[in-house]
Amino acid sequence: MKIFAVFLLVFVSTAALVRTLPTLSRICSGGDYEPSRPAFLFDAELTSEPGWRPFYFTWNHLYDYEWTELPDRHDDLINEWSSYFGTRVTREELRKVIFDASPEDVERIRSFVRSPGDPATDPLLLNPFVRSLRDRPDDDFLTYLTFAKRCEPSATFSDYWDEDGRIEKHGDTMRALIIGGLSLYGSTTSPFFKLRYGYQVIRLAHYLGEYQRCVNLYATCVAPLNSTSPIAYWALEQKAGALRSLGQVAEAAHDFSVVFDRTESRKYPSYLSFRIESDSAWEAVIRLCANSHEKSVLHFLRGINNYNNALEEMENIYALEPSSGMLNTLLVREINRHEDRIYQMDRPYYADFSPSDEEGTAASLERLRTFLNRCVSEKKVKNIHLWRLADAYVESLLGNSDASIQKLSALRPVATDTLSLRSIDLILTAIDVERASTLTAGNEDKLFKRVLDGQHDKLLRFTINRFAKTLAAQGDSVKAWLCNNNISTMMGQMDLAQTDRVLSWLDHRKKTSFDEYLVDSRLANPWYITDYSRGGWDASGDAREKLLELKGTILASQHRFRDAIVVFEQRQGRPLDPLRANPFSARINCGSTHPGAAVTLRRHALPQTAEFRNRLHHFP
Amino acid sequence: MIRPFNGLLICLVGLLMLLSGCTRTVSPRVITPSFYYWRTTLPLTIADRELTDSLNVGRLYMRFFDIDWDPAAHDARPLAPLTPAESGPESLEVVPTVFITNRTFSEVSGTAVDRLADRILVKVFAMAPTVTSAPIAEVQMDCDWTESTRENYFRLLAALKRLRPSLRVTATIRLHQWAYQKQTGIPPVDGGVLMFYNMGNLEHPTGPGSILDVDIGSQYLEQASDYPLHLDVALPLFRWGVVLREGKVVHLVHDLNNADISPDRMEETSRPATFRVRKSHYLQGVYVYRNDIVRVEEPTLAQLMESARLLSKSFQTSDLRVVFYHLDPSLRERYTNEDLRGILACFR
Repeated sequence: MKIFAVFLLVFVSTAALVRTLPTLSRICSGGDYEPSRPAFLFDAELTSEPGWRPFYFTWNHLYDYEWTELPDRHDDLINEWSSYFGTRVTREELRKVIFDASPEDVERIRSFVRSPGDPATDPLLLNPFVRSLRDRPDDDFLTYLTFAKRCEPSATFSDYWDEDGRIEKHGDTMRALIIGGLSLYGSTTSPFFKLRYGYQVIRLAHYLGEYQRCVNLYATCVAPLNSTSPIAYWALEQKAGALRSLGQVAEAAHDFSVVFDRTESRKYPSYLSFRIESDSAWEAVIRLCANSHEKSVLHFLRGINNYNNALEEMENIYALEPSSGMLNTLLVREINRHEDRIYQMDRPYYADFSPSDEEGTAASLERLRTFLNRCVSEKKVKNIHLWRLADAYVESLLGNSDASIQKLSALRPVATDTLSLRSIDLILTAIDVERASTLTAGNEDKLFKRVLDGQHDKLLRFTINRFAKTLAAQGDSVKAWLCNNNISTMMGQMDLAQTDRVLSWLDHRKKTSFDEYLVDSRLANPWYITDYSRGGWDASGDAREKLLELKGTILASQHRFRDAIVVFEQRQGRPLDPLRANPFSARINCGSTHPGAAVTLRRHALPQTAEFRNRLHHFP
Repeated sequence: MIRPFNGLLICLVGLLMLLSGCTRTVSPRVITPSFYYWRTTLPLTIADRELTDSLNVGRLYMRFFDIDWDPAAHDARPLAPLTPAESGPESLEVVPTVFITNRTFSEVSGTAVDRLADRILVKVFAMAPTVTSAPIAEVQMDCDWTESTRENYFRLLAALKRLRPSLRVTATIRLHQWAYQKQTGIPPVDGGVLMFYNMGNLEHPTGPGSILDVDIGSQYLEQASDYPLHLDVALPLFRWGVVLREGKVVHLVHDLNNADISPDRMEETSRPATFRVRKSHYLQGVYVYRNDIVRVEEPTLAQLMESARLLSKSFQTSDLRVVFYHLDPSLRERYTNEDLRGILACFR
């Protein structure tokens, strides 16, 4: 019975081991590469229009992080107040009073300014700006600041989960503030302060849901000032929102388009607010436009909508305002879109991998080329070098590399900026990579060094993808495989034959710069196992050591312990050290991620590891 | 071993079931029809009333609001809340339904999820008296959760239950969540509604449509094992236009039908219900460009009945709620009461 029990234990343990190993071998399959932003050979920054960054091409959404870099309303305000007070006040001193001060602080400032004899003791009153107010009192400013601080709680009330809360909690105060604000508007003679009171009361009316009153207040308080201050456009934006709530869709869209065009801080929000849903509404907005530029802005707004046909809108804008900077932004978006479609590389997990209508997209690219040819020859566009570069690049995207090279060579002597020159070099290198139908040690080395010199991630990936195809076609299967795989993939697959093939390639490689790149990036130091290497993987950066360790591990997992030890013994230094701790789990599972699995293995693998451990005792 | 008499009986029953079309002759189950109400305004129209009355619909699953992640505010926020009728609340039983985007759960985690649950309940119960005079006994959450977001989503569902233990909390279950339950997990709720739609390939140029593809649906049903929750089923009564630009789906135009297609701006292609845009224009709020392809999709009555038959085989419960998605103003133009009764009969 006892013998039977032992037999049963060994049998169950062995069965458990056999079942467990394949599961563990799949654990370390590496992670998905997920770039944070698209990178293209045709760099969107070529437009030299950083204000349009939120509208560069992306896969399916705007760049939130780019948007945070753009100026916000606080910047607008500080700029305005800086202009008002001049050089006697720093922006930081202004910020402390205008943004940080509470209503009580403002009252203290007022008292301090009115009482020249009182000493300043607290940091607020020691602010040089506050002290300067005592020397040069500004009643308009302090009166407005007091009013603005009273408006703040209701105006900045933000609880999306309680939309009625603002009116419920602050409605009476808001109505009183409108009356008070209008009175102050009437009592000041300064257009600077009139604009601010006007904005405050318009905003309050909008937030109260008194839309017609909001529109009327804009007409009486802000429109007559003919101001181009950002505050005037903030007020216009409030009016636009009220108009839309009143069902005046075209008027609202027109106002939003004006805000979009003339402000930086409200560009993105007004883009989101611009909404047209019918031909009749579109025609009505067009009729409201005062000039061709305003009409161009409408086409631009439609063109930068996700997935919209930028080329058709570019054609429309070109007909209206050929020197518009908006055309440049749409141009890079359109080229990046084609680049993305053609190369289909490095897309994040959420990007669309669906097959495209190749005929339709090719026709679209041809149409873009025709348009580019026209714009380049007519020379009406802003930044003609950008358009010539685009023209040359589209030739290469269409497969006309000779024409592309010719155009790029003609552009190089006249291109002045660094980015254009760099783009020319990148595109020329990409063309040479594309045209290399066979790879010898010589041309591969030369090309790859050029690519590395370019220091452009997209070009590098493009080259590796191209090389992979060429190498596969040439029968260099291991090297082709390494282009898109690495030791992490091998750890996931636990394929002994493939490991042997890679080891053999490693020993017999030609040692070109591309070979060395593959060894380093795919075998020795793949970046995504960097963290893992701290958990036990040999971090020496030696590809051969890693491959031998992997091979030994595979053999051990197949219970070929003698073979495994022979392989481990080929390693440098103290080759068997890692095995003393745990012959399986340290190699196969992901460090401490699955400690339970390691314990299970240790327990169940005991009979098999006994021999292994005995053998280990013979080594230093 | 089957005795001859029993074998004959089985054959007879089988023959009777075949002959009777959609009507099960053995132990008919109780089928309770309902509708999703996915509009943003109330009240129900007279046509809505007639339809719900004629089918004895006593309960509506009403979308109260959506929730999405607001990157600017760094917070989850409610969107497009249902606007109550000025004439007062409805008398029907209402299950407040909240659609929440999957991406919200990529952003909200830990105690913020619990706070979100609290906010949802507060908002739902604040809105409820303006929507219905009936008490709220159930709340349904609708989210296309995935393996990576399930932890946070399930935490939300558990928090809803914890905060209001007497409230029945249910969830919509998509086909992939049902079929791959090991990967996506079982939500900690009192029940669910299996959404038997949105299963086809949107980009397939000649397929039977993306809303209801009976072949794909049956494949899901075949591979799905027992689901450890009571499930009701939802069937699609909606239609849309799929706009393809250079082969990619770029828009879905809701409630589009052939009558919306203007012959001077769009031309028919060789494929059924598929049009090519000849002149760029706005189509039901969406700007379509020249050469775009628009495919009008709508489940046919035959597809719906076939789906009901398939589901009836898979759902052997004695009672089943069938929720039609959704109570739409154009519904009466497309389906008669008899059509809908016919679909329901296939479940019995």
